Amino acid sequence: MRDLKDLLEPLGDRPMPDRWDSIQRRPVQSLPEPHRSRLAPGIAAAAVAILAIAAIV
Amino acid sequence: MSEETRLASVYRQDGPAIWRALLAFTGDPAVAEDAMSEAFAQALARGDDLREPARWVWRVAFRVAAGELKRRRAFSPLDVEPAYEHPDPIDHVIAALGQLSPNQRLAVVLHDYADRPVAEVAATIGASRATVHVHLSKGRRRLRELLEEDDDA
Repeated sequence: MRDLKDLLEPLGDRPMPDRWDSIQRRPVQSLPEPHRSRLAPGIAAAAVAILAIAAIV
Repeated sequence: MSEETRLASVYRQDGPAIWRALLAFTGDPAVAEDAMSEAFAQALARGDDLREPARWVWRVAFRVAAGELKRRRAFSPLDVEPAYEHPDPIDHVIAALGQLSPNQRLAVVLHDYADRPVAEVAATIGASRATVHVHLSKGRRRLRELLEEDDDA
């Protein structure tokens, strides 16, 4: 397979629209947070719970 | 140099690369343009708080684009045809990228196409560097398979 940069080289023919003026007037919204996996914290919480139960029993 | 001037410089210097990478990631110029505008507007709103505005804008632009794609429920597979006719012959590459998982696509586009470091990809996704390496490995393999299928067809 060719390098991804070579494959996507024709994208360079698509010029960036200049929106700098409108960007300076654009109202901002709250930013989305990256999705984080809940698996690891879930496993950790389950392990702590099991250890706690084991300690009690 | 004022913050606005500094960000204007980042826009002129990094903007075209961010734009192309967002196009590759989203397959949709409207989403790419909006994500880029939002990232720079957010940067302007933060003023002097940003130590590395270029890196910050790259990260936020892709986070915004990913959020928008998720909102549109257009993540997998990416539907590129109604949005934008890519110049031949890359339409099949964009379509193949659209069949990767969102994080695989993001990792491959940011790292392999836009040359962004793994640490930055990790910060954008909100994952560890090791996880990014897994996304890269799986994404490259899947992309190779998809493009080879295209070649065989």
